[in-house]
Amino acid sequence: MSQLLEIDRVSIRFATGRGDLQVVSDVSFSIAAGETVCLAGESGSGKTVVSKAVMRLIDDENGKISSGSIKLNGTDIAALPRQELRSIRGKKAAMIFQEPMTAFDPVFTIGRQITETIRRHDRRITPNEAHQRAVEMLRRVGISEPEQRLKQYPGELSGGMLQRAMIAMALSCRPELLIADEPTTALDVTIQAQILQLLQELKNEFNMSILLITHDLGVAAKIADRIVVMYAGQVIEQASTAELFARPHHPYTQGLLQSITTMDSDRSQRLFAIPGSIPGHADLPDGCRFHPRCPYVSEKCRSEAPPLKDWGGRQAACWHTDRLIARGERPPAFEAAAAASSTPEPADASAGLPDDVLIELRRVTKHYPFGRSVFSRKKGAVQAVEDVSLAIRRGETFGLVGESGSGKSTLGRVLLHLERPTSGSVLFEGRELGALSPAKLREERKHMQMIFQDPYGSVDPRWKIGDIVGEPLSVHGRAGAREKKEAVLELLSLVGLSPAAYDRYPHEFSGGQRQRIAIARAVALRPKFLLADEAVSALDVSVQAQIVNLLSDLQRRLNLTILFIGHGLNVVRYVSDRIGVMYLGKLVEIAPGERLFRRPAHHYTRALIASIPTPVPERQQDLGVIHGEIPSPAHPPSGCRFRTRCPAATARCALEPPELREIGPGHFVACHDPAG
Amino acid sequence: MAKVIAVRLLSCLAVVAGSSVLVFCILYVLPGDVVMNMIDPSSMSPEAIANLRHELGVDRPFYEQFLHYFREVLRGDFGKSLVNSEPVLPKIFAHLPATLELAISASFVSLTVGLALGVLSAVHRNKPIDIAVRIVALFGISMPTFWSGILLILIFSVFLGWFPAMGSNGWNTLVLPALTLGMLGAGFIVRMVRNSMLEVLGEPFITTLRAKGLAERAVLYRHALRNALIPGVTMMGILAGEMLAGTVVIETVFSRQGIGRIIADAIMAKDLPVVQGVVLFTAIVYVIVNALVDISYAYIDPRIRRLHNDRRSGWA
Amino acid sequence: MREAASVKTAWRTKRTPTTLQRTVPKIVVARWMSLTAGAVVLFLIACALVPQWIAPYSPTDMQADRILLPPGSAYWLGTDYFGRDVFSLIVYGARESLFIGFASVLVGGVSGALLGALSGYLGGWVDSVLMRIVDVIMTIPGVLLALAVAAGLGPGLWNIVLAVAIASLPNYARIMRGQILSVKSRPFITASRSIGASELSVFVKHVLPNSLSPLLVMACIGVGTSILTGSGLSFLGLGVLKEIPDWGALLSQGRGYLTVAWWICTFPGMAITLFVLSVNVIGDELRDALDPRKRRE
Repeated sequence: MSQLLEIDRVSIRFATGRGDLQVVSDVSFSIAAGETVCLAGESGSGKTVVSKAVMRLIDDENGKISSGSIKLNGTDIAALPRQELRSIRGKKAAMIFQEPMTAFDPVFTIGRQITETIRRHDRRITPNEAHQRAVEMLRRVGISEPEQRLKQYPGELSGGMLQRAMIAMALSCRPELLIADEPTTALDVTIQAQILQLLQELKNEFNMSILLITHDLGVAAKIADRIVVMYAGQVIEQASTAELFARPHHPYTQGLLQSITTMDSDRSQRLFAIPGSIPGHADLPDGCRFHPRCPYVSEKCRSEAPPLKDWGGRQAACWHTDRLIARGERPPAFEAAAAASSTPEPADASAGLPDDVLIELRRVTKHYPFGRSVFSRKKGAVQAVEDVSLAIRRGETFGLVGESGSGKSTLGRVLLHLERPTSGSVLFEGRELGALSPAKLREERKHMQMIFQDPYGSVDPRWKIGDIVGEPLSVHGRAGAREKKEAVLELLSLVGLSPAAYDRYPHEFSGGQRQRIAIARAVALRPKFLLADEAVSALDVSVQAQIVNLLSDLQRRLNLTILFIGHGLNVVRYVSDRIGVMYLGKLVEIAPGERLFRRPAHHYTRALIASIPTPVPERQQDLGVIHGEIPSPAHPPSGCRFRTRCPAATARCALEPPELREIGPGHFVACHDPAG
Repeated sequence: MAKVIAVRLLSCLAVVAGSSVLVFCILYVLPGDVVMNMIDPSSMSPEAIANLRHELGVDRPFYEQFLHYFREVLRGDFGKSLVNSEPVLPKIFAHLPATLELAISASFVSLTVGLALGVLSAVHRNKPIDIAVRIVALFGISMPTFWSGILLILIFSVFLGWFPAMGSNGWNTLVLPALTLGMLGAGFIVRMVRNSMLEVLGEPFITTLRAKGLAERAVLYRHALRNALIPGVTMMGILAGEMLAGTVVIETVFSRQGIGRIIADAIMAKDLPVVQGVVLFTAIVYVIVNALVDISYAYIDPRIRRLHNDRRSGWA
Repeated sequence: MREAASVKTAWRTKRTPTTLQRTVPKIVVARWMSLTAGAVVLFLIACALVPQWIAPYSPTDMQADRILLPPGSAYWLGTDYFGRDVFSLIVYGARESLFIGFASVLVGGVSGALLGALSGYLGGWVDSVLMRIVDVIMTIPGVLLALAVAAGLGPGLWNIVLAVAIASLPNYARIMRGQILSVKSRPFITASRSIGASELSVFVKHVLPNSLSPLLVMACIGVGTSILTGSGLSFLGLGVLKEIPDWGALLSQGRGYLTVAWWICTFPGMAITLFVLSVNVIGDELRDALDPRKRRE
């Protein structure tokens, strides 16, 4: 196969306010015509920088290719004058981005932006022809009413729709190479599945190559022919997708594969986690850049950087690859996958427990009214949570999943009475929270705590760690200064932070460490209940596993009851005893975790599970893609709210909202015609 | 769109009513005896002072004073001069052309110079030209206009003799005042445009535009500038206010017969009703300009326009 | 995006020895400018506090034999029509000018910030009412409002301070309100509430401290604006006629001699400009230093 893109020993530097910073070192790889190559790595690995360098977009961010060459069809992009570079951008190689919402110019219509691209590269095309081509492209990427959409502004379309439009724009000049930088990271899983499938189809149809940048090895497994793994600005391994997953040749890849929570992760075992975190570009370790986190580390690793070495058609940069291969270690994901089909369904332990309820929601509804002002024409309410009843038992972990807009976070906030429900009630140990006086409610908060998604925003940047963790103790008037300090130090060690953290400020800590700080604060008062609202979603894979492990340890040690809200289904499955699925403000299914995944009854749950990309290449079946997007909670469909996207919808679904009913031990579903 | 305008006009009326209350309060409610401030107590007999109080109506209860004042304003009577009993509103209209001339030409100077330099500065960020522009802009906003006006007179009238130092007839009397006021406005606009240009240039969609292969010119002027100017439109309202207020000082410095001059003279003569009338008039003009700006803003920015349209697709 | 952020943050931990040349002038110029600005402000504050140590002559000392002397070695900035030394007049005039600047920022800033904080934190009808009042005050351009207030209050140093303070109040209120609203919606506020902290303590310990930095920048630049407004009022004759005129009055008095003695007008104006310019430079620097985007995590 001829090589379309050849990246040869490329290093990239950025000029910053305080000097020059090398962000990418000596990266080489190539992409053949018609091939999909995935550049995988965690944040800080330099993968996005490489992808931007292919079209020299880093030039405008004070970056430059300091050495090496990037050849597209034999033309060295690194040495091209800007004028010629521009005729390649968008024409020979096109790019789509992570956040479709911000990747379009907000003040021009979609149509104007697409035709602008078309006419930029072929001036003979009349505006009318360009418009026609834009319509065709939109239709091809699956946007209905393309004429109408072209007249709209980016702010008027949803994220999934915008990403489709972005793909249409990128492909409008029939590029040979499509660079996709985390194209589905900002989207919900069902939309992600749709977009990935679209990319697959278009690749064949347009006969192009794809360079896909992702941190999600599941996504990589789904569509890549070959995977290039980056760590701290270097390529550390590359191999065909099947080979990489079967037999990683680098300890980092191995660790990464092991730390992914899959559908098959054994709940009785701790998740594998790579210790530590990725170094910053300015303080890279000597020798092998991975050595401080590596289990195979030796003296040589500390002093000498390993070169990228050939291993029979694939490459790895490690002094100990032979040891890795000799041991024949396979990532557990694989073993589990092999075993999964044969294991009998385990008896659901939780289903038989006596109902010792800690928290109960009774017909809770939360509406956010809008358009209340005198002059607005439309009045209404965003129906964030609609008539949800739910009981969480003492000592269990209850998982809540759903896409964005499903109302799961609102439900969490209402449950803690951080927001009052519009109707319905919340009972904590039998006491109704809504009936308590503000002072009593504050007192009650001792027993229920919360961890937030954003580890950067949930701690006050002006407070020292010691004060942050100690705040609950001060608020609830516990003990003197010395006892408090002792308690805080104990909490810090409980969550795995050093006592030195006490006098430091949040900005000195990484995302994972901050999440530990937040957890330490949440458990400071030994609460009975902990709400973890997307607590690991913002973290890198290797760090996610650390935090999940910490949470399960704490649950055992402190006998916590946890409500774990997440959109990462695999993680939710791993931590939860029971799982509830939300769709558009409604709880549509509740079941013991294992059972929900093995015998999902609601069509939405089925679609959700089918949409998860599995990091196991052989198991890629056709995705159970459901069509369309989640409707606006301000105008939910009548009857069953899922019917507009449901493959099994009947006339009855539009008329009659289904009630939750029990279809198995502890398994409830709200569907007129549940599957299997 | 019609609804947007209607709503805006209604709130406009409410605000104007508010400002008339405010103007009334400033002069009659704040501590300090208005009458005593107006006159030299030693030169008038107590009876004359009492007469004056009666004439001004300040001897009546507060609410009555206010109702009276408000009624008069609604009728279009902005009060009479204490000095020569001349009604204020006709006087304002007589002096309005000179002020408008100045405010408009100064705005023109501010906009052209400010926009050009602001874009130049943002595009050449941290290069010598940017640093030079930023220093010039800093001077623009830091120089008191009464001083920069005097400096211009000194240079262009006294030393060079190119333009007259005073007067309000003919274009050549307009050059120096318009420049003086324009420099101030230009300083503000340069800083605003530079900031918002830099902000826009940091947005992700700029990368998309470059990735599409657009020429840098198109990226900067077709896309970035347009995005940057949208928040700038609201600045136009503020600029209009600055320009109107600026005329008071400028017209004094250059001895122009505008409404700024009326107020400056009224202050010297302690002619409070005139001060009050002019301030209220300016407030009304300012409110109207801002309403126009808001309406055009809604028209220019699709994001705002959308809010007034159907909300159906607004969520998701 | 994530990576771009980490690129930006990485250089904070360790400085690489090589510096790219084009970034050098920016740093040097910025440093040079703010240092000079700081020096100017300190010098003028010293003038206001201890003029007798700095001024070579007494500002009230009139001598017929040195009327309208141009700048020279004996009288650096020349003399005025009463034979007073212009430099000494400026040094002594600093006190009143700076007092107006600082005091009105203090009065206007504190009360504006309080109003804004109240409005933003309480929300609801309190917010609506306060903000409508602010809207109304803002319909009258600052200078004009100050003018009207000063005219209503009559002459007097404190009256000028009050006039300038009232004119600047709405800006502080708006900024503070906006800040409070944005801080209020940040997760750490919910976090603090969720551990059972009372509303008051959340407000005092978390909301307020995190809302103050833009106000600081505004106050800094506001000192400049207030001096401009204050001296403008003096220039228009709303100030107090005193033995030692402030800069605005000095300038106004010198206007009549423009054609024969340019220096009387020029130098007080230069003093105002220099001071305002300097606080603006410091304000800009402060803004950059406090900008969360520029010193992220």
